[in-house]
Amino acid sequence: MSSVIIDRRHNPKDRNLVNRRRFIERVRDGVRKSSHRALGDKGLTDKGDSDITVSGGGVAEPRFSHDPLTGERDLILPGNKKFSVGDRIEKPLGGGGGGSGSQPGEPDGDFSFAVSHDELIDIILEDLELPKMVRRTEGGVEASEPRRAGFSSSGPPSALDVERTISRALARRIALRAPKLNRIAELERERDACPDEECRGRIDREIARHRAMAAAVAFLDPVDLRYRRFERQPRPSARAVMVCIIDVSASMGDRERRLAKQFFHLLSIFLHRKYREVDIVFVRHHHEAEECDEETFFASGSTGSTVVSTAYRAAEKVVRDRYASEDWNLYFAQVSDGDNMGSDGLACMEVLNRFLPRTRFFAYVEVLRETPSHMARTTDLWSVLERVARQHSNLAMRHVMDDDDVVPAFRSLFDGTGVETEHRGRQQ
Amino acid sequence: MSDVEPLWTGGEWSFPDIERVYDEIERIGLGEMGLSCYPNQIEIISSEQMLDAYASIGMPVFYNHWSFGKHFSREWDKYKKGHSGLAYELVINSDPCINYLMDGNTMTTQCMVLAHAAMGHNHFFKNNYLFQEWTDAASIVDYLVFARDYVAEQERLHGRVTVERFLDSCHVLREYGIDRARRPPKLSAAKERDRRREREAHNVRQVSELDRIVPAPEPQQDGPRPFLPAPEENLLYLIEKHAPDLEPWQRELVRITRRMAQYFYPQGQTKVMNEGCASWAHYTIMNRLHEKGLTTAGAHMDFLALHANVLFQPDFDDPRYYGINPYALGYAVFRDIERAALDPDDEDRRWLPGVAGSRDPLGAIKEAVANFRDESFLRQYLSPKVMRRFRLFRLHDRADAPAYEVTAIHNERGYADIRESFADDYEWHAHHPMLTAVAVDRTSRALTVEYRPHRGRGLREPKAAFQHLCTLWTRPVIVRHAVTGQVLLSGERS
Repeated sequence: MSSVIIDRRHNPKDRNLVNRRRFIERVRDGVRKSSHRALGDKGLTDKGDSDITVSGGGVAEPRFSHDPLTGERDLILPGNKKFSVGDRIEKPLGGGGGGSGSQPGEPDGDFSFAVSHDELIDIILEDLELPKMVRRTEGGVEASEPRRAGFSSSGPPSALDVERTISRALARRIALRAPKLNRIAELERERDACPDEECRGRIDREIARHRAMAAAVAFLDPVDLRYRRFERQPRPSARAVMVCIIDVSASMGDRERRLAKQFFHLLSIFLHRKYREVDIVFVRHHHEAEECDEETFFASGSTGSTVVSTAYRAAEKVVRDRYASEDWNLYFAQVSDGDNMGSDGLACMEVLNRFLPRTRFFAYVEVLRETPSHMARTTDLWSVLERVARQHSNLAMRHVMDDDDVVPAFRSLFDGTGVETEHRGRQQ
Repeated sequence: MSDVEPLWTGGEWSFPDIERVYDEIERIGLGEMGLSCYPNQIEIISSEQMLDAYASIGMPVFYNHWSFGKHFSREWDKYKKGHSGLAYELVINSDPCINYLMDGNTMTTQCMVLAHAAMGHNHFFKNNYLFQEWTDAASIVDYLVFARDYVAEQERLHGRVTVERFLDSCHVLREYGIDRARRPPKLSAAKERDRRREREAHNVRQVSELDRIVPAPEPQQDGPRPFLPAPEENLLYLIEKHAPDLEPWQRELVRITRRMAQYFYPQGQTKVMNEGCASWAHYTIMNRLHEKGLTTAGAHMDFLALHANVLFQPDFDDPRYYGINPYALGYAVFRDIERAALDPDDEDRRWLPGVAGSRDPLGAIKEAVANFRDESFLRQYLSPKVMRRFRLFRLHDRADAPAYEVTAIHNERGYADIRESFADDYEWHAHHPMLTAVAVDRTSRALTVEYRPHRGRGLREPKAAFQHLCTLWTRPVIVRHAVTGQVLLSGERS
């Protein structure tokens, strides 16, 4: 009899990735729903694995099995220390001990498993896009701009790259064994110092040889020349800027701020992942507004009262100063608790009416107060925006209540149906 | 006498090491112990591949299904979090017998694994009557390839979701695809050819049906008889042959599930014996290698630690307790048989007749391997010495009682009770509800299934599983109590 030994380590090791993908597809909604638990604690920046628990029909594999709470059975157990026949052992609360033999059937309960960071983000962001992104073209020809594209051996003198040219020349001279000039000078000094006629003649011949070689190998040769090359590349035809507006007034409590951050984190990851050419602008406001960097935006504490129109004005100014060109697709995302100074409503409407026509999409997310539902009332800002939205279909509004809502709200805003669904939503 | 060199030194393994070690193991296993094995094919795999293999129920090829992804995710999880180590080996009942060795193992582990799987399990697969009757080692890999391709093809034709859903239903009845009372026909090569021809005919029929654009399959009026000649416990067989409105491809999927269930049935019935036999084999072989001077003292110490680890049986009140360790129990019984054959006492003569004092330990072990399953094996061979070693005791558990009662312990009065109850616990119906199809209505084709409770046990939340049964039968189904006649479940395909 013979045996065969085969090294299979280089065979594909991901045979089950197909099955895993199928499984994840099956539980996708559950994963999205519970993703906040996985993301919330660690934040989206943590690259580690996340534990996901999904439940319900998607993962259950029902079987016919015995009900352990009926009938009778005999259990054989190992390790008797003190029992003798007739002893009684109180049953532990919440289920009997394990039997021997085959395992009990798996209950149709929750199923936990780990997903990697990338996998989770992919699941959350699948199929999402910035709505109504317009790709600019000019007269049917895409605009283009020169881009550095390496080096070439020909070009205008102004584009000569001296450093690269000289270094190539040096390399060539070394390769062709061109003598160094100071080697010749050295030999000349040696010859002058030498008393012996015969020796001088030898050195002279050496010098002559070096000179001949130096003359044969040019210091700079046309083959050395290198020019910076530019190519005209189509200018990114879809450029977008996302202006993020966060409310940092005193009314934003810990919960409100947490949900707002989750939303913006998600937005930031979404933009970085899906679009190369998206600028993100951060604006924070209470009764005053300012543009800030990402760090301040996410770290900001809460103070002051709320005047939302200041934020809109600040955003408008940023756009006017830096993104005035028609090529820019403008997007806005705002999270607030809806609190606003009563008299500010008109001002808000005025600014919004001014810049919404130029805007592709404005996403407004309001964190609902934790109040009993009969006490819930429409906030000042919500009612203002609702009126604005009647004229501008590109303003979409969502409520979030707790962590479970963030991902669904985010998806509903950016799954391409954001604007339309909200129309229907509002008519109810 | 010349000095014998150890086969390897140090921890790392290499291909030449494995080859030399395997040759020595074979010399002992086949030569000295007289085991009879399929040719071995040894495959080195990585830990990821081991996880992969787990999830496909250990098979080298399998069709795709989301549930395997679920199991894979769980194993991956447990492994990554360090909750569970990976198996050192995986062995497939095929001819040649495929042994997977993990590349992270030390050479000592590889050696033990080879003795365990390539000799122990292999001998068991080839010689145990259940495996001989129920599985055909020569054709299993081909069959798996066929199943994988067939499922993929149907997914292409009918859509992945449709096929996956249908397989979901089939999987629910996995345990009910076996003729436990009859000996099944083998998957022989000739049969396989016939089957293939039949399948091709199926395909042709399907295509022509598509051509004719028949909206729904016609009920087979003249085909199967609308009644049952005898009660049928193989529900999948009944469905495959007689379910009124299944499409041919659906019947084939039922059949694939049934064949796989049949292939795995002996493994479920012989866990204790199979692991016991393999552990006994590795222990014997590793000791012989050391006696011959082929392993270093260090390697042998490593082996003994590993061995103790594998055979560890926590007590019932130990947090690590997770049921009886089949390795430990099986090994203990086989070693006990070996001992009783050579050095019997009066107790052995009473409890192990035929074995005690036979002076032929290898013969006794081979006899046990060949002719028993866990249940009958324990009934025949579980001796008082083993019961004392494990300090076994019996608890009576009545669902409506507030406490368990100790009804037997490892003493003269309890031995017989423990042996009986232990063996009973390895009966199929101790862990699977007994469902038997008893009637098919002549006109409506409604199916009646009887549930015969085992020791008064009811069904646990059976609705979901029942719905799948209805899906498969395609016509109304009722489940009724076998004794009282009470209808427990009734419904039809949604």
